Amino acid sequence: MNKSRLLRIKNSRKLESAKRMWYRFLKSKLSILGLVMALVSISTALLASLITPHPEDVTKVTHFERKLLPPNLEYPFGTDDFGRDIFSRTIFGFQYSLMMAGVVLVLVVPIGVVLGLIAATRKGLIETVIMRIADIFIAVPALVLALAICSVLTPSVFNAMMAVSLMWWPWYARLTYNVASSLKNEYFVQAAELIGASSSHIMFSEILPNCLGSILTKVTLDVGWVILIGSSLSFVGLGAQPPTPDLGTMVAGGGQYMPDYWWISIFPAIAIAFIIMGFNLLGDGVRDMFTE
Amino acid sequence: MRMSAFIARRAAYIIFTLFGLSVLVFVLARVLPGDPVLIMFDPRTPPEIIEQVRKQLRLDRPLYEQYFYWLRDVATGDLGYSVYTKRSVTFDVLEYLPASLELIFLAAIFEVTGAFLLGVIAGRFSYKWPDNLVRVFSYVGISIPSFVWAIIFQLLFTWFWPLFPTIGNISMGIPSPPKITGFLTLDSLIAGRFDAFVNVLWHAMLPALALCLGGMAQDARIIRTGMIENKDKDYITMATSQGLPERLIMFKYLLKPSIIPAITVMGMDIAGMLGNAFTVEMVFRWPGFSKYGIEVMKNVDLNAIVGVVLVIGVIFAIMNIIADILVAYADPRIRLMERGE
Amino acid sequence: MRPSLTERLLEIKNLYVGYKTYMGTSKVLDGVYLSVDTGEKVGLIGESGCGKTTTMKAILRILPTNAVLQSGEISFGGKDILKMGKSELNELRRKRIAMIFQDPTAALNPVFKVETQLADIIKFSSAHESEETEEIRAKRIRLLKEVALPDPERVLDSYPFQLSGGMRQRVCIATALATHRQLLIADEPTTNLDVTIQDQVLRLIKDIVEKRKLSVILISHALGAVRGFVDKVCTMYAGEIVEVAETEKLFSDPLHPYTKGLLESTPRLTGGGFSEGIMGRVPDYINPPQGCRFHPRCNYSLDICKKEKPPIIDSEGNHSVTCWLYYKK
Repeated sequence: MNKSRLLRIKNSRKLESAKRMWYRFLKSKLSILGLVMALVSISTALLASLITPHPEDVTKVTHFERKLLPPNLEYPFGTDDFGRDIFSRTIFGFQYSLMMAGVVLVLVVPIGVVLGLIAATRKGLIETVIMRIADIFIAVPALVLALAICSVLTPSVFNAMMAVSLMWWPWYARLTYNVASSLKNEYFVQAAELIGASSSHIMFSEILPNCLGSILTKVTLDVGWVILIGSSLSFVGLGAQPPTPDLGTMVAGGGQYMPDYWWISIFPAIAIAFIIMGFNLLGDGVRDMFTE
Repeated sequence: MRMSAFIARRAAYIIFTLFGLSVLVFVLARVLPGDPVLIMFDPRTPPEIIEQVRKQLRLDRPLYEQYFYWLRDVATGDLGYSVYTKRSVTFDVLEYLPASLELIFLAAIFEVTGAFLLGVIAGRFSYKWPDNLVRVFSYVGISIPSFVWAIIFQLLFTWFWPLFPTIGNISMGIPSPPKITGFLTLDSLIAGRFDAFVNVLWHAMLPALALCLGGMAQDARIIRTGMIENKDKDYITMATSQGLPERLIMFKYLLKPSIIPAITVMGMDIAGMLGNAFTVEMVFRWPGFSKYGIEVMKNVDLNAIVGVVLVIGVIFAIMNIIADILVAYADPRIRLMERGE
Repeated sequence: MRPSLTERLLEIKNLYVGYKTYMGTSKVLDGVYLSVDTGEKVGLIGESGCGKTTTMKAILRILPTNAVLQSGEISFGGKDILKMGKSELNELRRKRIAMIFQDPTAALNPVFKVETQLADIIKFSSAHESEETEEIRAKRIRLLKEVALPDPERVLDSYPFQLSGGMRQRVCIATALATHRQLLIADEPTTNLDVTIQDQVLRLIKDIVEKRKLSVILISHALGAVRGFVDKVCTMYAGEIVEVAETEKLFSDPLHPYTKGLLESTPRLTGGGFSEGIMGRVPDYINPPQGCRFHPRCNYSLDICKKEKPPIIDSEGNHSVTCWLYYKK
């Protein structure tokens, strides 16, 4: 067998396994629903500036003459106590929430995964140090830790993102560590070691691809979790500050007007639930994809 | 490994972790920008007083010295002085923590019962309408943050259909029982005040439900999945082939292996309620630990923040140990196979 | 034909069973027929995946949830099992037929002690359903002694994972003996055990069958074990019974090409040379070959084999074969 034939077989097998994974994903209608919801959320976030009817309401404007209007044709979600269109603000809320999730995960996943891999492949002191530090962060409920860290910083969107990132990486380190450790004893790793492959090659080319399933599943589900924590933070007042159209802040802002002007809190709340549900369903589908 | 050794090992591990946590929070609280002393006082206060307070709080000493003193204080139960409430943090903790624990306890009971019922029903009638209902509920439940549930419940059940009280943990007209344990429910029972007891429970219903719904949904799903997956396992097939009654198989031989993965998650959820209580207590103005926690965090009251995080960490750790014990008790493989590690 | 003094205990006729998969329905059992007389020991041989376990599970109606029972009849003592109601079916399972599974580790519930599982089985399968606990306790020990377990008390107090493979299988056999059932189905009882234990367990089963005068269906890959034990052997391929004959007859004069290949594939201690084996693999049940399912692998296939399914042909008395080669106009 010559090289090109081997390569073709390798690629066709990859294609086959990719097709099988897609079959498994499509098996569940809920996963497809999740994909649609997630795509809707992402598109809304990306196209926010283009699709909002009243983009200026996102900023510090006030239109007291039209404050506290119930949902109607012009303002589908009603207006808040400053007269701002809640529909527009909610759409931008998508942007803020997904941006936060994106930034956090982009930071946290590489760092966490690499640290986990290092801890798993180089046993001994490095392993203990990394994992113990990770354990410290896992020892406290996520929200509490996020709140604590946020509280010593000035409340802002940026600081909230930093705080959440700081306490999130250990979960990825731990996940990667667990999966990689169990893989270390597999034959293919020992074979690579015997051939004399460098440890970084083993880490990235042998072990990492097999961790991808778990990592990808977690990333998808985490979009929901990060948004949940983020919105809880801003709900409490430690994240984004008004007038930033963060969904959690908006829900909090409407608190004092409950129940008469319920739309101020309820619509952003539904938006939060929508995004999280979409990514949760999608995450299940991703998990199914990687389960034989 | 015997149970006691198992517990001891876990406990040691957790204590070590909590140490690390305390260092982390301590360092963060003191290293990050902002002068805590200045915040405490009116800007017009003369600098000598500020210096004096700083000395008193040992903020002029090197970091490790501060930590050492703090550690010593904690060992004796003194969590420091709260600038916000002007009282000792320990005192504050003892005052506010019981109310939160009451809420969490009730929520935990709801969650476990609910998860069991829903999970078993869904497993029993898998792929038919009860199962589909439970599945929908589980997806929706997991996706909605506790505070959103709290708001929805408040809107629906205290305003649209005024079935429950909106805020607080005891109605205005009802005098509180004398304080013995700090737990309103227990104190009511001790004092024989059933009216107060029922009233507090009535107030606790909605917030507890909001707290546990997300977890309940998740657990129900795990139990359901377990039952469906295990249904086709060989040991169930064998039990069926022996002619054992369906009810026995379902509620004994299928249920037990199915709930074991759920117990771990339940433990985590209930422990996590400590965090979610922060937002739920806000919505319902439940006078618990979280309200205190948020206030001190907003006011950057360092001692109090560190104290709050530490206390929560300890409770979290204890809850996790309990969950681990329960799992080890239920699954003999974990209990008896550690020897081979 | 067999003298009509012995009663027909079990008769499977035209059994069609499929499994639903996301790629379509796999048509596994394609018209299975099998019979067991009272006191008869029947062997069932064939390669992995040919449907032996599916057939056995169909008898007790313990097929997995994605199985589809398409058509057929399984009569036991005159009644059709496939049409039985729940309580009749449970009667059957408790008092008439017992099954020993292939993997004893998987067959025992991992989170319950042996004593609990045995107690429940005894309680519900005995003639008097509400036995006193003392009786149950005594009976448990008796059963474990009957399967030659040396320390019954310790075994009872253990969880399945604490026992060795051989011990687990003995426990499973003990559960099969909890009542005086008539038919024992042993689905590869020794395949998953250590080679050194296989013989012991097989001999134990033999003894029990003799002592209790049970009828047996034995499925096994170990052709030697089958040969020394059963009265009649059925060969199964791809969901069909392709040959049935008295044991010695089948081994000395196999008719069906598959049986021939199967017997030749067994390495021999004497005679030298390596066997050829049978080329090819078990067919795709979702799109099975047309006509005779074996024809793609058959060295003797005729044109008609590719088009039409062969009928069951009775050759010389108690020997039947499903093959066009033996069809005489």
